[in-house]
Amino acid sequence: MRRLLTILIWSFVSAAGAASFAWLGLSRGEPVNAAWLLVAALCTYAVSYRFYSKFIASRIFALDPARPTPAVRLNDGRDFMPTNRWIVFGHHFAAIAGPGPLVGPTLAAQFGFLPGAIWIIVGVALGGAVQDFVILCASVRRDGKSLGQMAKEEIGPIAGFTALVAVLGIMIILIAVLALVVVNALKASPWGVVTIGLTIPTALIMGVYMRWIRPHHVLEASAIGLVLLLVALFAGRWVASNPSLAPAFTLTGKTLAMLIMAYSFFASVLPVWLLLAPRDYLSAFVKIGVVLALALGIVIVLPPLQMPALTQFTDGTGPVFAGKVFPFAFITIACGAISGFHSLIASGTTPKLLTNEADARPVGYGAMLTESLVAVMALIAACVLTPGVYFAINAPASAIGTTAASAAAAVQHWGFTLDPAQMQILARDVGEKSLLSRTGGAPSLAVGMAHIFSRVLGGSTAMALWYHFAIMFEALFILTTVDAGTRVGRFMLQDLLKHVWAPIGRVSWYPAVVMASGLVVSMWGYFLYQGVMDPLGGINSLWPLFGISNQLLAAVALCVGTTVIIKMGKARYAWVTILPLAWLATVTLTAGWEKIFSADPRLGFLSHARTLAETLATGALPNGVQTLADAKRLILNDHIDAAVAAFFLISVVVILVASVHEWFSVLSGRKAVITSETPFVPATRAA
Amino acid sequence: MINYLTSMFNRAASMVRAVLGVPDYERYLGHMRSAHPGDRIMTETEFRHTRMNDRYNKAGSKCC
Repeated sequence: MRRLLTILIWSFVSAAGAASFAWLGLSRGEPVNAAWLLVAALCTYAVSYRFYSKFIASRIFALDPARPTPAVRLNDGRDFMPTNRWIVFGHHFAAIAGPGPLVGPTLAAQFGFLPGAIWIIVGVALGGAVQDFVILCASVRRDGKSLGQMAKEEIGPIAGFTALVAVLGIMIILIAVLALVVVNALKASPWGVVTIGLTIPTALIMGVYMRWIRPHHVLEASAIGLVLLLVALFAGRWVASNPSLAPAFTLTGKTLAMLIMAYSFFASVLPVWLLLAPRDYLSAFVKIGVVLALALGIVIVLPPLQMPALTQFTDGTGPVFAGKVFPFAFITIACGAISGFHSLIASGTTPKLLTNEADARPVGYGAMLTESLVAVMALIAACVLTPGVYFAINAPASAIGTTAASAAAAVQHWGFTLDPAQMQILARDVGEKSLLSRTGGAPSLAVGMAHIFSRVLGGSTAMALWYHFAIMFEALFILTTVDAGTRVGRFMLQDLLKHVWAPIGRVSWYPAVVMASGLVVSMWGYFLYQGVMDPLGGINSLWPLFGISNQLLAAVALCVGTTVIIKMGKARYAWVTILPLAWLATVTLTAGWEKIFSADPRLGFLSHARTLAETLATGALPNGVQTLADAKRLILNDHIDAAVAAFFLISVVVILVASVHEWFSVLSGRKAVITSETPFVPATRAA
Repeated sequence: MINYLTSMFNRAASMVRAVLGVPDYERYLGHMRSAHPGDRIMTETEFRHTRMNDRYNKAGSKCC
């Protein structure tokens, strides 16, 4: 009887999910309600968790609650510590959920909501959650080893080294593109600049409070910090409405880029307790709060999706970023569907905390499903805007001009409607001078969130507060990744450079610290600056590079996963990781190839450089470029971007070849299976 | 009643701290006393600072 009920329930869940997908896919013309997207997502998550993750847990890894985990065997009260399952879940989720799942889906909405929705939902079930789960299991079985160590020990030293260098490369591109998103959101916005600027003294106050006033009272300090954030929000409004103060805080992209570089340098050099840790706590609270609020808002409002299922930009002519729906939808949305970066966390702190092997399923697979839901919500928030407004905010000035009238004309030319007055009213409602060409995704997401929140609380008079609250949330969140990433990059660089010159590896020697920090900041700062100066908006070239690099890391993780599965003698189930790996390899290689070699100058770095050079040869300056020196620098940047893309492509190929070679050696019996898996030690009371 | 509420509050607070990744000195102390009696035990400030530095100095504590 109970069995019958279970079958009935799961049949119903599957049918509801399939029906929602059908409704989303078949809708033409009329706006579809966001509820269908939510139901499709939740049903798919439920079915894949219940069946697919169970299959992986039992058939492949045979997760055994009786098998002591590293946390139990190696408990040291510090790194290794048995921890409650839900705390590990929360901790893991807080670590994996960054700004990626918010920005990517917003940008990919230029293809319509359907490609993004399908990729986020199907990609996570068969790819992202599988990757996180498999890497977590592999690491738990190897005393919590890191991805780099596992790549080296399971595949070989070449793969290990490639993974190491790739991680540093990814960090640089990731930080640059995220910083660019913040710059574009704060450009010419005194309100935003003041609010975000004040979060720095807020963090310093919290740091000092936790250090000297009430040592170790993290929650008290966080409460104070949250109150100060609200004060900062209103202070920003006050400054923006004050005609003598506002101009001083109305900054250009260049100035903002320099300020963010300076800030990150100091965050990397100063003690962690003073700036980095308090900001991180603050950001975690705001993040969880906003994600819950957004979920609640969407469920209460159930907004219709104004964006069509598919737009004509699937053909690659889109203004937000260049490239066809294949492969670029799958590059643009990395986090939320599959994010290689997660494999660093699934082989970092998390495996050292699991009390029970079986907990790897809710933590590894479950937390990634939750992140995917965040991506779905971001997609909804972007698609509640009318296409006209969405494109006016997200298209660069080179596509829509600089006035509301020119933007409206361009948008109408694409077949959408936009009333010039409507853009001005919207900008005034959110407390900005203009919303045109605020590329990067953060402003349009903030408008979407403000739209949803203000319908729950406050009405249109609260739009401006909600908009700047959303911008504050995104910027706080992103800057926490930027400053923490700079510091981590500094340590990685010191670790690499010490092979060249030993003293630079000394992590507490001030000249080495300053030099390595400066080097990391100038590396990502270079890309940030090039993005700010780019007449096409920068996001167009940098975001795909970030997507490719992130997917490259995912390919590394899936290669490690496949190798581990084969060496466990479970080669017949290796398709579980080979399937997403094959897809990612196809997507990454195609996208990388097109970014380098495409003949379309909007898409290919090399043909773009060629077009610029041809224009210069005729004696004219390219569109949107002021000086000859600028034009020459753009050409150089194109070549550097092409080289970076080529580096990522070669890395993918190296890892793939090394892995496939290892698989065949093991499977054909030419090579003895050498694995670093820790043998099963029956539970005795560990000392 | 007050006691019950206080203990509930404390439990919730320690859970929030754990999710944030704030190191738990009491647990470390308990572990050291039971598992490694006689070993040198770090002071609370020392413990928190080394833990915090460890956390922010390696890849894999923060994602995109």
